Amino acid sequence: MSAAPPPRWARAIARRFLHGANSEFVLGDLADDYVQRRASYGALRSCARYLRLAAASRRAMRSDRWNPAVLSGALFADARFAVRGLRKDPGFAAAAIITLALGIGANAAIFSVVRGVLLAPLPYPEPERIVNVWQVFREWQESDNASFRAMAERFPVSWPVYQEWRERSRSFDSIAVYGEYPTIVDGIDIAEWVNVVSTTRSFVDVVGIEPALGRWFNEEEDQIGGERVVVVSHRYWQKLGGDDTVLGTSLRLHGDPFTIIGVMPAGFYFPDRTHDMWYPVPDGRRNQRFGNQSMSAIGRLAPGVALADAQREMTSVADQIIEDIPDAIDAGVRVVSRVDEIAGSTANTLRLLAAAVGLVLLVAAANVAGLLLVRATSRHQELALRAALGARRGRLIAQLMVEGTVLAVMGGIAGLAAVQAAFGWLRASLPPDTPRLDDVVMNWQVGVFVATISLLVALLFGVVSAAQLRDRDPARGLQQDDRVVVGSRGRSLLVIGEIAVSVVLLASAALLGSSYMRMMSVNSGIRTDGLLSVHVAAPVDIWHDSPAELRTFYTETSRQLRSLPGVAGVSAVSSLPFGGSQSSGSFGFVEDATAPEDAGWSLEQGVSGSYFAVMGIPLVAGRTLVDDYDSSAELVVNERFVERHLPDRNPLGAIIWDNGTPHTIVGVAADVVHGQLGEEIEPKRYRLFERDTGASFSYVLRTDGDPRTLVAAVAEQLRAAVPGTTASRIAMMTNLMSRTTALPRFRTLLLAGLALLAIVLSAIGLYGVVAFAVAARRREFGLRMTLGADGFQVAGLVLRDGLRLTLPGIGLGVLGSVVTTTWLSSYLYEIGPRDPVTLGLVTLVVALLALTAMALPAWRAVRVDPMVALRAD
Amino acid sequence: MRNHLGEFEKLLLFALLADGEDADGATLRQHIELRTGRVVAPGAVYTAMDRLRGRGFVTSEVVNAPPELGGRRQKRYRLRPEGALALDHAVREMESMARGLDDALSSAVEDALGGSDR
Repeated sequence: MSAAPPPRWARAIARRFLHGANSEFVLGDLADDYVQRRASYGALRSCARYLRLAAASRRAMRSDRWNPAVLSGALFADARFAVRGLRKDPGFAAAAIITLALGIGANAAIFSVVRGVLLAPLPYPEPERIVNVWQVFREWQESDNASFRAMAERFPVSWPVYQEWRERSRSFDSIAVYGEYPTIVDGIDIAEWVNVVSTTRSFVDVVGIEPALGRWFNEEEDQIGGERVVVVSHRYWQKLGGDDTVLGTSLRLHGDPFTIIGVMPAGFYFPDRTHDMWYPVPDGRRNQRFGNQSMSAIGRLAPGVALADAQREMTSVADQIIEDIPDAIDAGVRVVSRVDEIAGSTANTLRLLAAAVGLVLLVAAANVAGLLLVRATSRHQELALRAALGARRGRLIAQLMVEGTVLAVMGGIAGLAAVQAAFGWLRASLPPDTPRLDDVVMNWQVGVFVATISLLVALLFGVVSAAQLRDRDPARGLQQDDRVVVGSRGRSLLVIGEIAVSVVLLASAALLGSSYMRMMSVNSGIRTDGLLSVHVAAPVDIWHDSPAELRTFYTETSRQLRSLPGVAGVSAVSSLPFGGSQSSGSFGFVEDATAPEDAGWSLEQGVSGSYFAVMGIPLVAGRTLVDDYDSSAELVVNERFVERHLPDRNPLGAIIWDNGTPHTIVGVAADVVHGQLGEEIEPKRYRLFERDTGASFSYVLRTDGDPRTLVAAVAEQLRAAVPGTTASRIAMMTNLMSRTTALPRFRTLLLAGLALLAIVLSAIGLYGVVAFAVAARRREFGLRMTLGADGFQVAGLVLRDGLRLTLPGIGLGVLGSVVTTTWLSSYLYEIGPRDPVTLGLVTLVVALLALTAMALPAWRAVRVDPMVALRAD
Repeated sequence: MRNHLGEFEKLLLFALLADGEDADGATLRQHIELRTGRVVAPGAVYTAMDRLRGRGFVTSEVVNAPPELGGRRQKRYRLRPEGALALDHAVREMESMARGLDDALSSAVEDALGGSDR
């Protein structure tokens, strides 16, 4: 049978009609059907049937395009295909997955911290309604002292201010004040320091959590002369035996008996997890005047009241108070959410790190996208073939996207696994003072986050692949011409972007690192090596009204410590350097006949005469204090004090009103740091330690050898000296000092690590592009060399290609740095955010690294053997 | 609902059952045309078979037909046990609906035919 096929025009129409994986079979069946029918029905009718069936086939096939079963089957096939492809190319797969794992893992790690510190809800009902309310002390806002400026924004509240706020404000369901005080508590048979909170009855309404056992204090107990009652934490209750019978028994706080009336539920904490007791504000504080602010205020916003509303109302309340009450201090109000209040300065560091780590992910994703483009290029013929065989562009894009998704998902899994494995180490490397450290955990939310960013990365790959496909006419892929894709614009843009981001990250890291180094190289002025400090408290029995016994306590303990072998010197000190607290006060000059407190203010510290020798602080003039505890009227001041307050006088012999009595300056000590390295040195006066009232203070010990070996002996010696003594916080001064710089160190190291990652990734990206270009131009290079070009010229061509990406990248990066590093200002120490030297160095480093990345491909280009290259086709 | 078969899907599975192992798309289509007189578009066959494959009722493979059959590539199908069960279920459904209704249906048809005669 001479089987004449359907007419060519009919076949052409059918081909145009039919797309998809099955079109090949459908066209074949249609042709067969035509051939069979033509014999009995003739060409015309058969042809009509052919076209009718083709049209019907098109309808059937179109309607099924998005059928989930078909689609998922196809996608599954694509995924299998992708996995098979990746297994065939393990080098590419490993590079892509490791790169993504690094980027995604770093993000997961930072997210777990951000989630714990900033996002996880606080364990109170409707926690978003809980706010801290601070006064804003205007006088200090423009102070030249940074710690005063900081304090001005979080200025405590006095009892009368709290009463006024309660009366006048409408924004809160309830409002409470609280103060936290370390207190010596005599439990059933344990006496120890406990963090105790004094607060008001309204506190339970604010936090929204009632005691699990017993009750909270009532209105009668919450007033002057009220009964002394205390609510304890679940943890402390366990220590007491965990029995209902503790209700009604009493505890001694600083020696005073308090009746236990309630136990808070397990897991409850406020202000943080270190607090174990809550009791009504003591009478002393209720009698405060307007200026004696010492407490913090918290409130629960009324339903429907936004934080901004409360802020607005409280600002006007504060203005009214100033107007109505002559005693009121000139202060505004700041309402801040409890979560932000707790996160404090850590929040900004975390935001910075989150931004940086996001950029690293972009670099990683761009790098892998670049690799995918190379693969797409080398698979160009395959794709073109598939297109020619009838695969619609959508299907091709879907296939590329599935491949990208497979990579992203594998990278995400690997990244998550890495974070999971390293999580213990990660948590341990957070600064010890990180708020809500206990909330930093790996949980399902971290998993969801990883899944989300993995899918976003996959989407990015899809977009890049789709753009690549759109750029090219598939038909040209069949022409075996690899030149078509050498200058792939997409890849070039990706590499330029990577370099720019790396420059920004490196510049930021360099600025922070340089600041940190400058900070650490600051001489604290204290010889910290070999210094041990210990906080002591006298037995609570002698706390009140027993100066003679306190005196004995001091004499005995210091004598015992001095007698320890290996201890070269001992000094008492009221507030320890790097100990987190400092006190300050005003003073006057006696001969100026000014009011006793009007000449200015300075930091104050109570020390014994040996302090300067023990701490290694040089005296630049005069002598130290004499340990004459009964009638000392001497002061030592620091150099800054002389500079600021006594510039034109001989400081020695100047008489000063200090605490209401005249004191003579007998010495000038070198300036030393008190709060943390890098702070501005403030004027300070040292007076003799007040032995008769010092029930709780610190000792510093100068040791001959390793201070660590003395820790146990010190505690023992103190308890032996006076039974009932509490010795706590025994620490090496070097550790105390490094604790104060933990946050900058953490920030700097982490950002440096991220910058390193970014820069290495972008160098690899650059290497990839240049190496690929060299491989593609082998023939050209061979030809050039045959025609007489020398190695330098060829290498120059390669370098020119590379620099075409590097230079714009660096340029963009420098621009970006100039814009973004101003955000770092508050973290920088003695260096500007646009420090030209740093930027110059960063540029140089990136340029050098880029050249290194180009060196290998350039060398390969020079080594091309012309004959081999030309023979390649 | 998961095992529910559409009308056309049932016809295809019957055809596959009848044609035995490794029937190709064209054979299935001819079989349905012969037995039902319906004109079936090849595209509809492949699309529906893809759907059945996606649901795990059939498997498919692409083979080169022997030269005497034109030598072109063909897609061949094979019934899976799940497909057989689904078809069986569909048949039982139909049977249990039709059971005892033969007379009723006949008289209804007579009425219909008589009505159209008038």
